[in-house]
Amino acid sequence: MRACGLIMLAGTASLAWSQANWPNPGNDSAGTKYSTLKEITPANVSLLKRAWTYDTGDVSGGFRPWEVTPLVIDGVMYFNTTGGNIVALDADKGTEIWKFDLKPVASGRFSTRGIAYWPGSVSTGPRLVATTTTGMMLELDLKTGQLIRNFGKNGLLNLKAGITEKFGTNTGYDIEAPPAIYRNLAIFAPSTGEQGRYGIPGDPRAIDLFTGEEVWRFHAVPQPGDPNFGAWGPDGWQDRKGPGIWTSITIDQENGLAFVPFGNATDQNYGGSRPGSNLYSCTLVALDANTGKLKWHFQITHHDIFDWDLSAPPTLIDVMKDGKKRPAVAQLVKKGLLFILDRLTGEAIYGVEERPVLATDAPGEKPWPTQPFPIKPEPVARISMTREEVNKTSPEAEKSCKAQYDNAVQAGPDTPYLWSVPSLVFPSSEGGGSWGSPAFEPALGYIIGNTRSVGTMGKLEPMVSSGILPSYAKRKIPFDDPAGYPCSAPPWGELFAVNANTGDIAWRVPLGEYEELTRRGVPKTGTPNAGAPIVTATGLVFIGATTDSMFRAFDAKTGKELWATRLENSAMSVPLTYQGKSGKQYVAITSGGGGLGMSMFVKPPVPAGGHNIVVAYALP
Amino acid sequence: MRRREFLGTSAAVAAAGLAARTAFAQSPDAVNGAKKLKIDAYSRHLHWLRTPDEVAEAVIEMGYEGLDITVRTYPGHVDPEKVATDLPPFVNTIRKHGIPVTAITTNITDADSPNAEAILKAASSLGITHYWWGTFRYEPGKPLMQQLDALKPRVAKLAALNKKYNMKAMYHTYSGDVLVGSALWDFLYVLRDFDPALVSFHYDSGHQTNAGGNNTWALNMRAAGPYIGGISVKDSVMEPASAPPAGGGPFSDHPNASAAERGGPPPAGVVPGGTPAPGGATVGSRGGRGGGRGGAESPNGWRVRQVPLGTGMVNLPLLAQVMKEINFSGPIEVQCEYPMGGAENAMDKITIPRAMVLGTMKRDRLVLKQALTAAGLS
Repeated sequence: MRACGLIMLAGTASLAWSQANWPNPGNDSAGTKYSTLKEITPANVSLLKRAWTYDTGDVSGGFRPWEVTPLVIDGVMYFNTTGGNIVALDADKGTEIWKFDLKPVASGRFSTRGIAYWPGSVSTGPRLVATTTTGMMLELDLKTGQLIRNFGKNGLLNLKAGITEKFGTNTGYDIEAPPAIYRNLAIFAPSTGEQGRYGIPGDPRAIDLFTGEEVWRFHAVPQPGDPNFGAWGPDGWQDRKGPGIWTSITIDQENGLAFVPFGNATDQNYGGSRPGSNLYSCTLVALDANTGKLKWHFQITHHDIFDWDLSAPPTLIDVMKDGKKRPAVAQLVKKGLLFILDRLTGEAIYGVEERPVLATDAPGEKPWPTQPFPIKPEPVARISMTREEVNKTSPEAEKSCKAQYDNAVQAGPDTPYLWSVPSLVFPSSEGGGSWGSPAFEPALGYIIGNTRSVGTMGKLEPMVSSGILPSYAKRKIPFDDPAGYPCSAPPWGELFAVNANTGDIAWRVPLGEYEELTRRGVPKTGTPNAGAPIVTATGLVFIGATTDSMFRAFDAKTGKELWATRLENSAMSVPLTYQGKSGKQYVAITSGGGGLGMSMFVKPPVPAGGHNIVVAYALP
Repeated sequence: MRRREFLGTSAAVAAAGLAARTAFAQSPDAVNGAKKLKIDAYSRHLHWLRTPDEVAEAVIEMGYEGLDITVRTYPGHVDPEKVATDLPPFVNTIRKHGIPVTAITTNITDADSPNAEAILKAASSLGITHYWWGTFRYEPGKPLMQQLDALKPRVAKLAALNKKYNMKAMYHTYSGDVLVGSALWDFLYVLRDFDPALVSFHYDSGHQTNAGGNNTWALNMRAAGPYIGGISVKDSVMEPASAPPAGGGPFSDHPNASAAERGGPPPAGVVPGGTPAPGGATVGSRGGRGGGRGGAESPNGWRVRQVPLGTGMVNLPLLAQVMKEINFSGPIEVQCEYPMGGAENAMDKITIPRAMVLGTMKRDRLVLKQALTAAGLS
């Protein structure tokens, strides 16, 4: 590995740095999504006006929404589009500076959740680092958008080489999140997919951004001689597909740690071929960012058969406890729980306990009898329900929802999909905790995040895994009423704040609205949502995420809604705030609607149509 | 799952959703003119709930369509000694929630059993029509037929009492070579001298499958015909005694499961936040009464283990088919005698979450409902 002592052009280490930029999807590499900018305040936020709109020309909608968070460096905004471009805009005006087109260079598209900024060195200058869904990594010159031709082979580094060949020529290497940048390393992992016993491993890897050489690789499934080998049965580890990673890796620059949120084990809903806990699936793993060596791990779902992949990047926080500042990491998970762990040891700061959960009845399955639950905070989404907790917004809804409830098994948290009869799973296979991860407001000590609380009805059905192995997979339908609203009692989407210093929930409020229900006198229900909030030093929380196409601001202290504006489409993304060269503070967000994966569970469907756009707001 | 491969396997998502919803739905009415049967919850598994309101809420939560109430000494829900005063408010409260009560479970063996007439009188006054009856034991070494003949006067006396109170006794069937009725034909030899409206079998599908393997039980059931007064449905498997201990929750044979089910600390090897590794195997329950009574180990070490409905040897589709053939119309209940946090053994406390117990019992109901629906009985 090339020496790391090279001069950096900009730092990305501290948790609360004062800056005008937004250089990572989560602002700092700790993923706090916290900005020190102070021009926009609770007192004036209601005056925000749209400053500019940039139309990418890409048609919005589809199964996967446009989930990109732009980066801003020195007054220039950078982002990738679903149409295969990387665009640089004047962040004050929204006008194009340059545009890079992937299509003439490589197949596939850029990773769904964005690109990375690498400050580079004196010799290289700053660069953007992008990965593709076809297993390529490339670097662009920050100023010109030119492909760095001496990186990889004529500008493309083939990340598939040596990995995919044994699984067939058509085997993909899909990277869905931007790499995490630590010094001169790009740290990333493939998503791999979730069905199929055999396939590529989800090993996180570090690539030297100067040379393109692989510096380290960590085995997502422990191999003989590795720590924790033996968690996949006698041979379940061999050529095991995954567990992949769908989201970003978080970096503790100060302590040189990479926090890797692993996805679920394959096959997704049946573990007959993998008896054991299946480390490191559904596990938060802390690695030495320099070497890739294991520091600690915390498995959040043992022997996953639920689809409880860790879909959100960890958020690095500080906890004040017993008069001492304790570095910690907050992991919001799909099953509606928030784990707060010591960043250096993995110990649960407020305790954790193993609780029995219902096992599945799939033949040949060896389900794990317990799962970990944090003592504090309490669940941040609905994780179970009773018959009386159905949607009662209308008599028709209550009747239909109870009838559906009576035909499915709901056995509390971590109810599995069954082979014999349908089951009702909370908070749905889409998850309670969104993929965006919480923001952290250091002055208040608040972890602020968004959740959804809708159920999925599903049942296991036979399938053939990897073309040769009898297995099972869930078939699912939304748990919704005849009008298309979720069948569980509201709220269906929430914004919450957890006091990291006590583990208590400080506030939780509905996030999103169905206006037609409000007109009928139904208290605000919230809507299912995807994305994440950001928070500023003036105590403002900005978030889109909802299916009602709104972009909102809340008071970080109380959760009170302070401002809302309607977008052309829903914003299933994470906003950003920055200071333009003009000195003005902006709040921006990408909006592209879509999200078929979500609209399967929510009616009325997510609005579709129009184009993917970037919008920026500022005070007049 | 918001993954591209889901689309790959389910191209027409909307269509699949509609199809799935249809598949998930159960037919609300019987077809082909067969009688629609309802499935009762068995209050023996709800002894950890003490008030009738609590019990009723649980029954509604699980979707059962009626309740068989235990009239047995504590932790039974109604004390037989106080049946005259305690049964009416219990039953009336259950019914207030819209839950029918047609059957009770008693320890009445014959007309001279303690409190027998008081129980029948109280139940009859409430419109209850069926009760659990039994059990006679064979005396070792004596001719069986003579013993059966000797039971007839006792049955006659009970039948007379039943007639007085318009009640039907349901003799519960076990398996093995100790209890009368385990072979079914044996006690049918006694019952056939009496009116099946007064005395009948309480047919236990789990025991009878063990007693009449290879579907021989179906012959017995057909032979009993109108004498099948009620049915208790449960499931079991035969397994080698050398098999790893099960008892780890409803579906699990995981060695850690027993400890988990007890709700105690994680078993050895399960380190919160660390690497949970199977280990520290403990011997759990062998599955309630069914694994004990009539479930003796064979010389070669085979034994019976209770399992969730539909996962064992009981042929539910055939059971439903035979029920239809014999025009069965009595009460049906589900017995959940596999490890269920103590609920399987009539305990007044449970060691796993309430939702797990209720969800497990609901699963059994839905499995049975599927079989009844397929046979046009639901």
